[in-house]
Amino acid sequence: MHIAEGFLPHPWWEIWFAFSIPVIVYGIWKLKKAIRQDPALKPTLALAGAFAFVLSALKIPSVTGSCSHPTGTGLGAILFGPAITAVLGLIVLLFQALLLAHGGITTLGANTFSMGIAGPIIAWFVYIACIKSKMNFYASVFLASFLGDIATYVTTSIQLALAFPAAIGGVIASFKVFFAIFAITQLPLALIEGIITAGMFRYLKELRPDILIKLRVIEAPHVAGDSQ
Amino acid sequence: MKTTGYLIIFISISLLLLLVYITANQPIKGAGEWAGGDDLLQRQVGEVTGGEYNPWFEPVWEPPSGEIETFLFSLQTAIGAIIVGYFIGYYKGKKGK
Repeated sequence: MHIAEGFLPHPWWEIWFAFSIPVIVYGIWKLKKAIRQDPALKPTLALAGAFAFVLSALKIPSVTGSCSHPTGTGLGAILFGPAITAVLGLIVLLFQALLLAHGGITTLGANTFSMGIAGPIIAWFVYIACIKSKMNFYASVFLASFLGDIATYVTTSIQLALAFPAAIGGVIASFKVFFAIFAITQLPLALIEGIITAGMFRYLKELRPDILIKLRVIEAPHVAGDSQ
Repeated sequence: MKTTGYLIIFISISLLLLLVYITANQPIKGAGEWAGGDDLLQRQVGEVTGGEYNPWFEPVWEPPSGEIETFLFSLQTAIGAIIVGYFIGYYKGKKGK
């Protein structure tokens, strides 16, 4: 989902910065507040950031004969919500833009919006919807991170389609072309991401259920293994 | 509340299937060469608009070779994996006591 450096023309790169910056500012404020209230959250934050670090660096070959990478933001979104995850996503994207020439400074706003904001918002909403409807915990985590991953790539396709409408057919036609590339490449990878994220939550639930309860990811009375 | 949840899940999955359906059978230039999805996308930009697009800004610094880029990517993975492994191990060790 990294739009390469300089690849968004004039009005669009500013527009996506304008969307992303308020969320990042709010996320930093929320992050500071969360750490001030409970410094013991720091390791969990590092865990969520590191998870995105690993997953977004893995370019996995997919069935179509192309490669792409998961986003790894589902974990942070479910634990901390989208605003804090946006900050974590920004750190990953900044590292890749500066050291790997992957993504870019001018497209940082657009990339932060797709990976750090749009994906996590969808993941967070889907997780809450699943848990509220009393779905199995791991199935909820899986669906949330799976759909969050897809949402990130849908957003990138929309961003490029808006900036590069097709000569014939306009924005819709170019969205079809762009998303076609991701739809098939990304589906198996999103499945992998869903499974890995569910695996991480298995560890967290087994080892530190107190963290999940504190962050209101699961409810306290259900911890004792009644809804496996 | 329960129905609302299932409704949201149902809608999101049908939207996803719809997206896959409308984008199916789109010819993808360069697929099958194990190229990166991001690169494929940028190649398509020229196709769609009917003209070459020249990026207006160059990366400040680029890895001098493919090897160095691979090294930096694996470094990124390693840093992340160390942190994830460290804390999972720490939690596990603490719980064992």
